[in-house]
Amino acid sequence: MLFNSIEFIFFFLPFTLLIFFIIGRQSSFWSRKLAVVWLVCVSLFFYSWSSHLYLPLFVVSMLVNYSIGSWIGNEAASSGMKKSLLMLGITFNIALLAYFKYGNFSAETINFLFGLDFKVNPIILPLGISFFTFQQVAYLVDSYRVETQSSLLDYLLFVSFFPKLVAGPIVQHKEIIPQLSDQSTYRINAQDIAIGLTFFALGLSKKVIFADSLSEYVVPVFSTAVEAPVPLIDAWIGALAYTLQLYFDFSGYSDIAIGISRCFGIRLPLNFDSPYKALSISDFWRRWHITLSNFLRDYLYIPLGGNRKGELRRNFNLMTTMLLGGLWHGAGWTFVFWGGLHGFYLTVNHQWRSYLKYLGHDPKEGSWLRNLFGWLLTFIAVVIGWVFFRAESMGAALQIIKGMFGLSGFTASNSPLYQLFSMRLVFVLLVLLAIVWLTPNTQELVGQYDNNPKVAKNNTSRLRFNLICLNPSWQPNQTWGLIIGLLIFLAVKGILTASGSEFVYASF
Amino acid sequence: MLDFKKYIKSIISGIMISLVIYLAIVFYQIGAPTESSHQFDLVYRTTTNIAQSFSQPKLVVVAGSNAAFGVRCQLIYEEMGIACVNGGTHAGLGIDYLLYKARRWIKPGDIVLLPLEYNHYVADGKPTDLLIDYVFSHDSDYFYATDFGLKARLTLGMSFVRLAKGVMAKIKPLIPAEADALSQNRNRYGDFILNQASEITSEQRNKLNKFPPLSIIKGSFSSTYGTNVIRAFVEWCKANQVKVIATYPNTIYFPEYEQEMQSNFFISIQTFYQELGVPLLGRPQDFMYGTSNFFDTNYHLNDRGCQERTQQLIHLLRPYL
Repeated sequence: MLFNSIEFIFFFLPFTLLIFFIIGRQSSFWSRKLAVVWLVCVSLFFYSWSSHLYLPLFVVSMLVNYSIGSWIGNEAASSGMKKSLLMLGITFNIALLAYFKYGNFSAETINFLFGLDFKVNPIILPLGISFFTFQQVAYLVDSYRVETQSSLLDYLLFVSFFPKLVAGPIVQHKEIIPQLSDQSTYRINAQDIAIGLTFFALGLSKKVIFADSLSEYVVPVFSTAVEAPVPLIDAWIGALAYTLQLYFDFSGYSDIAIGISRCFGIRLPLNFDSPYKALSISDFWRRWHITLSNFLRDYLYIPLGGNRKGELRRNFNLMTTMLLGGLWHGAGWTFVFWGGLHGFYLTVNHQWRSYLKYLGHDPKEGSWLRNLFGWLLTFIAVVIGWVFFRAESMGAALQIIKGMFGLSGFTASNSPLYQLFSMRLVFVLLVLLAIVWLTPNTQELVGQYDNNPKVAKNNTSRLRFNLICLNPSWQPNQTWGLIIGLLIFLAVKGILTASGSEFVYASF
Repeated sequence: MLDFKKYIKSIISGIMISLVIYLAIVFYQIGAPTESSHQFDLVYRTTTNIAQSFSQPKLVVVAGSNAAFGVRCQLIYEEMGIACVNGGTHAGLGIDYLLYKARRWIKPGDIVLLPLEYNHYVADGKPTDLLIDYVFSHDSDYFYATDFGLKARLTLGMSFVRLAKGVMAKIKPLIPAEADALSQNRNRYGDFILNQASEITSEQRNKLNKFPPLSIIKGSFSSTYGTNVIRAFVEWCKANQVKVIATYPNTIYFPEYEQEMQSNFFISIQTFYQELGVPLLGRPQDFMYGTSNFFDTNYHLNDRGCQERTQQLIHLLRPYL
């Protein structure tokens, strides 16, 4: 079931909320437990709606991980036993992911490399496996570090909670479980619902009004690239349109997830923080898919040694982390290359900072000109990276990259975009670029009224993009209520008008 | 403390005000024909005239454009001596509307041939732009006859561009085209006749060669919106002494269609008609041809392909007529 579907918006969500609050309004221990049972049941129903064949796999995965996590967390267990159990748990999760996500890819690669004709039946990817696997690996590691304690019921909700089940945000045990034992979570709270609805409306608008309208510019370019060169204008339009589409799609999804969860009184961590305003590639990764970046940092990069073992080892760790991060996104060499490219970017970025330090400069202090240059360079590097991320093959990606560097002519009269290339297209791209560069993001817009200490905020210190920053000053007042109402109407109307489209990240 | 309850009420008010304004504009432009809807209006007016011109029992071919381009009713009439109406219009109008209109053409004693495009069997009932454009321009009766769910989908499914065109057409009405303007495209049986193989351009040929296999042909299906609509139509036909015969649409052949997953789709169609007691003529592959038999899309045969397809159809139809 998609967030941008009528059955979800008009039936599943209101019904689930209503029953949740009816059950939860009794302040007894058992009513709270019943409310959690309700959320687990509807989350499993939500999962089975799109992937009923894999529901048993999902449930077994949760039960196995909870059991192993509980054994690891058992104080009576020896250190060696805990370590063995941790290895067993991680192996179990990685094996599941490897089989379902990379089985076909591995077979194809082996066949290609060794000229074999090894046949593997197509394996359908279980919905959300990449997300729930990472979340459970994090749980096991946290259990090993003695940071977890929860009942089976709470654990099931922590993993299966439907707003973040399919495409994140990837949450940690400590971010969710304490909220489930808070009595206020189960009571109707007008502030939570108001802010949740606002997030939901803004996220849905990003997805339906912006992201979906961009696919008509993306598809022709990336399809053409499979078999023909792509000229300069077309290549840049396709790459920029996809850059915007992916951002609006995925950040829209995250806003919807955060908003829905907030209506239930459960706060999810921030996942996007205006990534295209980043002044460096490190800054970009602190703003893009923040919960994945945090996961990779805390559970891969730092355990590998992080930056504690010298520059050479740090660069190796960065590259390894990003290559695996790329592979996590999809079973294909384009994803691996994209990860490697970002590993390379990060390595260059870190070396540059080391060089500045060597020269006696403070890398954190930059003039507006340096910031502007850093922002532009970062944005272009990211756009180039997205070409590999989106392209159907390395060959197709290279066709577009060649086109972007002007090696395939300026524009072609017979290209699919030629007839679309109009003032409307230019206008759409400019408006959307202005939105991502110059306007506050959802969290910045609404965050000033979100002073609850439970909010998980992204506290990374960083340089802020300080060119023009429009601030429409969102207020929970009548005018904004009407605007949000209008946006919900337009988004729902957009869903009914356009043919159904899935969220891009749901396929990872 | 800010009043978040008032804010939530304002959101609801915002939704309601937007909806009321939108509905007012939609209802204002109902019945104003847009330019894009004219060609279908001509097809329907012409086909209705043809159907009404036959007093004797007739064969009515009902489907999207695969029938208009792929079945030659004139040939059926000449070889079999049965009156024949080609009611092939556009698959994009949706299965419900195609069959709704067909009911107007059929009389007791008639025979209906359904070479429906594959997508109709797994249709989810979401109205298309084409249907919305046509219904609000020319067929408000259909709109008022539908249930609340479909009414809502038709109304809210209209794009803002279409709404603007409708309002413009209401303010400044277009001059309606004459039905006989269609005679250049179709013969007096409703067959599309401007699909000569000799007229195919190299651009069309290239386009045809690039068509991939139909992605809709994949896996089995059982009860869908589309099958429910077809089932209701078959039952209506039975109640009105109308015989129904089904067959497969004409489309480009791909070896992929022989694979198990694709075969399951065809088996589902066979099972569906078997359960309904509707004869199903031929095999899917009988009406799959190389691109040289096609005109401009993967469902549109050229005149040569149409001739071949119709001959095969006549051979299969004989035992039933």
